[in-house]
Amino acid sequence: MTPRRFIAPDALLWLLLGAAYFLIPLIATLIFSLRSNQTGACCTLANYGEIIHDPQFSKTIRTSFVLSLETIVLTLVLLVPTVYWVHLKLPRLRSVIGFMALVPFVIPPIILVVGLLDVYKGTPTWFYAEPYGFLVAAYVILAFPYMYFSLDNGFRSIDVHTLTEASQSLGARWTTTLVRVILPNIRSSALAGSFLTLAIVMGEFTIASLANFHTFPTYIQYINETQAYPAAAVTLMSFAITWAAMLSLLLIGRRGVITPIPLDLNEAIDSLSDLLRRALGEQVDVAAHRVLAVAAADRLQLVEQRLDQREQDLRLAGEVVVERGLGHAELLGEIAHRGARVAAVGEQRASRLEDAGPRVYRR
Amino acid sequence: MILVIAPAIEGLRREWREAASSLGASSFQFWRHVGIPIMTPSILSAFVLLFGNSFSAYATAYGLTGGSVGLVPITIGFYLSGNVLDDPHLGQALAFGMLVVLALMMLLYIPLQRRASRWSR
Repeated sequence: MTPRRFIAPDALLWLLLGAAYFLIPLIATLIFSLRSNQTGACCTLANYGEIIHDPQFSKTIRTSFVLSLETIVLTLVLLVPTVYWVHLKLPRLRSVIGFMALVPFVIPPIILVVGLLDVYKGTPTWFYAEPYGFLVAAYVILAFPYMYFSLDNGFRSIDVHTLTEASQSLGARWTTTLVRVILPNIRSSALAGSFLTLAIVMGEFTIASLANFHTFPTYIQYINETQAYPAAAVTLMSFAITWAAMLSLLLIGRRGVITPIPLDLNEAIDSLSDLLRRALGEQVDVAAHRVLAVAAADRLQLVEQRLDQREQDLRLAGEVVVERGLGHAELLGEIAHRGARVAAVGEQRASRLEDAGPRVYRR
Repeated sequence: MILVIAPAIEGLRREWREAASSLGASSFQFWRHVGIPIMTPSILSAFVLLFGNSFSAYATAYGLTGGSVGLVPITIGFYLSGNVLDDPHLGQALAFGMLVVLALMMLLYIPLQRRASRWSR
């Protein structure tokens, strides 16, 4: 047991001050939002109802949400292979890309939108006049530094070279390596980048407003200019929605993390022999040696029990071969797995499991 | 601000504090002659970053004042969206002027950052 740690009184004071700094405006907004829009009297939820029933509310929030998902997907598709390749093959380019990633930090959205409106002039209408074209293009630029720096951190914390070599020596292609080996390892940093992107896109006002698109932030601004009390309500709701979106992303990501990925030994051996065939250009067969375990008769039953218990964990079909060893004449009881089919081949007995996992041999 | 200043405060080593107090310095003297001078580059670079941030802030300024204060970003916004004035080229010229100012600030930022990392080892 670690000794219980007390928070020092002066630290607590600073903590409370910090909390007050964030909470007082929120609480003030909450109280303000509860006043009636007509009379200004407390306390009514009418403002919230009014906002929720406003068709513009659901429309703009859907636009903003789709925009952020589109931006996240596009940024990931562009950046994950790039950062992977740079870490693997071109480490000298890292500082160049790091510098490029600083540019959207330095150049504010107000300047960006001036340039983009000019650059994209003359592009087809489905791009120029649609938020899902123009705005996503701008938001990918805005999200680039955030996504890049989180991915770069993630890639720095894993051993890209070893993972790639290991995956390739088992015969995986580039796409397989990237999707099934690299991506699960950088999942948390990709998620962190996605959170930031979501937060940026859900709150981006400058570009959307100046390019005349109707997104959630421009809707808040419109309400803010026209109705005082509902404005406070919509502000709080935007807070809640953004937090809920982040939380759901977090939950999706976490659920993924604890899902184990089954390793199919046969598939691995097959791809290894594929690789050797490709490399050596001739007929190569890779045979795995049987894994032998010597067990006494009573131990065998224990093993069977364990197999029974584990049966639901073993996902892939497999085979259990039981051989009678020398000096273990009285060895076997009947193997009673669910759906087991027992075949006797000379001195061997094989039982096939319908839904068993990796191969287990017993002699 | 926090992101730039926090590493600087963490970089202040306990030994310096102890050395100062064993030479008879008070807490104030420590900050006056050791702490603040070491952190000066970090404070200045935070200042530069925040300057750039506020200089180019559009959303906050527009949201709070509704465009009644004539800041550069808001003026650019008016020229672009063209409610009353519509002259995108003037907006572009203003934007380029902002870019020059920000580039100058960045030129200040880089040596400050280098200076600040001197004590971090």
